[in-house]
Amino acid sequence: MSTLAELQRSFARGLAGDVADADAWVSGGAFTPATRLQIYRNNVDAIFTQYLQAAFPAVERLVGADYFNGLARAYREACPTSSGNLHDGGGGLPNFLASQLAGSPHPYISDVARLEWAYQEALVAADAMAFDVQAFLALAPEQHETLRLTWAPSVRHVRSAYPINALWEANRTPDAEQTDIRLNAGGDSLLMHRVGQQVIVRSLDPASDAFVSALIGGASLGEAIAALEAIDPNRDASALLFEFIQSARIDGFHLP
Amino acid sequence: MRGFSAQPLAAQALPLKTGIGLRAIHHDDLIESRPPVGWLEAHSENYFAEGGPQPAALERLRADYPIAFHGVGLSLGSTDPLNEIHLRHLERIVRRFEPSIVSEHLSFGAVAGVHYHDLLPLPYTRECVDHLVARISAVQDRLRRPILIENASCYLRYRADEMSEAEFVREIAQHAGCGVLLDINNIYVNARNHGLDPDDYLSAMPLDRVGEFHLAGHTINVHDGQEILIDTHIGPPCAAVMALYLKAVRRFPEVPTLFEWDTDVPPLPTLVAQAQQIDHVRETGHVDARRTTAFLRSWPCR
Repeated sequence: MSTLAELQRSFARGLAGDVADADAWVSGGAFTPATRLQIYRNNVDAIFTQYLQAAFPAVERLVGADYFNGLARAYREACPTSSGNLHDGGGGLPNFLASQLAGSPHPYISDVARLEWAYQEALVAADAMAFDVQAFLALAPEQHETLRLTWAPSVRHVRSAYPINALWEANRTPDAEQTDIRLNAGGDSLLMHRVGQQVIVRSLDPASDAFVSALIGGASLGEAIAALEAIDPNRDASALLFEFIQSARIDGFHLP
Repeated sequence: MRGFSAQPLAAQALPLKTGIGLRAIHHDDLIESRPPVGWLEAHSENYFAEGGPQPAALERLRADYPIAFHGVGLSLGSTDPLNEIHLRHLERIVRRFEPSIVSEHLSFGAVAGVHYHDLLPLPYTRECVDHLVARISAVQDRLRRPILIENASCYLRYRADEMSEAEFVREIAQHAGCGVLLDINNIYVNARNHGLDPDDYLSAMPLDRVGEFHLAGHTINVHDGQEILIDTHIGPPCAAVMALYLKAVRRFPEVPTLFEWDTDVPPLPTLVAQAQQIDHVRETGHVDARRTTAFLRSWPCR
């Protein structure tokens, strides 16, 4: 291995707190090599923690600043990222947080983290394609059953057994209105997408949730309608479909 | 030297009027108030998004201001392979936004597949020069344009160092055929932290390579009674950095200047006022110590 590669590996060990051999490769001078490496450890921690604070403001508010700082460091060490784009770094936090909170009285916080990450992804996703209405109207009715619909790149579907939308709204900004939220008030099925530069959240009732879950899971339109009607035989799937096309949540289709 | 001459560094396309670092919290203010700053420099990675508010704001702003891209995450000095996804994003936004300048840092960020998102210091060795020349050439070939490389601030030096920092920067620029983004505050920080001579540094920079200046504030930390300067990009540049800047301007009179403020980012008018203060210093050719001190005093104790 080259000297440069060796030095970089030594530096990485130094960032992880292993400075035993640092005298051999760092010039000391006014400060010990350990102190010098500590400056970089602090910087690396601060940069990543600030990024996570900006991406997960409600989680930070729910767990408190001290826990969040420790969480940020533990997550960075447990789930390192290879991306040079800092903005990619939060994707693993919801699962990591879920593992940290397993068995605690606060399992809902990792679902809030899922919602916050979905929001971050929706913000940066590519724009929707234009839905080809003419081609859709030209289909024969018997083709509708087997259609597969495609969702706009910003669409995210987040489900939780807890009222995460209310928890998010009450904690995402420092001046958000504080309300009493009962954790047993029922769960949420939320469909998120970006319109212009704004991310919109639509709450789904159980039948719509079944329809959306089926479609996102790769089911055909016919299968999704069956899932919807299994929950509510009187629901009109075409109204939902029309809404999702008109709002550019669904931006394309293809035949098998 | 590789295929790109430093002349089309596009410095000509940027005005001498000081530019400011573009930060998302100022997007709306900039679009509405169109303040008189010379140009805007965006961190490349902040505009990697394929849609949404970030690229939309940049699209609007570039109609009114020249734009430069300044990368923080390419990890040019790393011995890991160049990150193909990162390069692809960079290539895409360079095509889309046609920046006047594309720059990156003389540092590394990734080791063995782990990215630390910091500008970690490189050893000043022949091996490292050769490595960077190859990497910069690969990036320039990919982008089909020359890039600028920025001298980084650092808090440690290696026993392996074989040359001065100025020689290191000059060797790389000359052999890679890239430009130099000379960060005046980083020269000052390294001079204070590692005892190098800032005047010698400026004299060592080739006249035909320097394409941009950076100015920023730093923080003085004290450990065990010893001072160390940290490149925090907070507040205005101190009087000593401005004095060094004037020397740099005398040596490189046609080079545009960018002012950066990244920690506790102030409201846009404060940033614009500071950019105008830099213009004033450049135009009059002297640092008004009282004015600088008054501005520093108006800023909370660091």
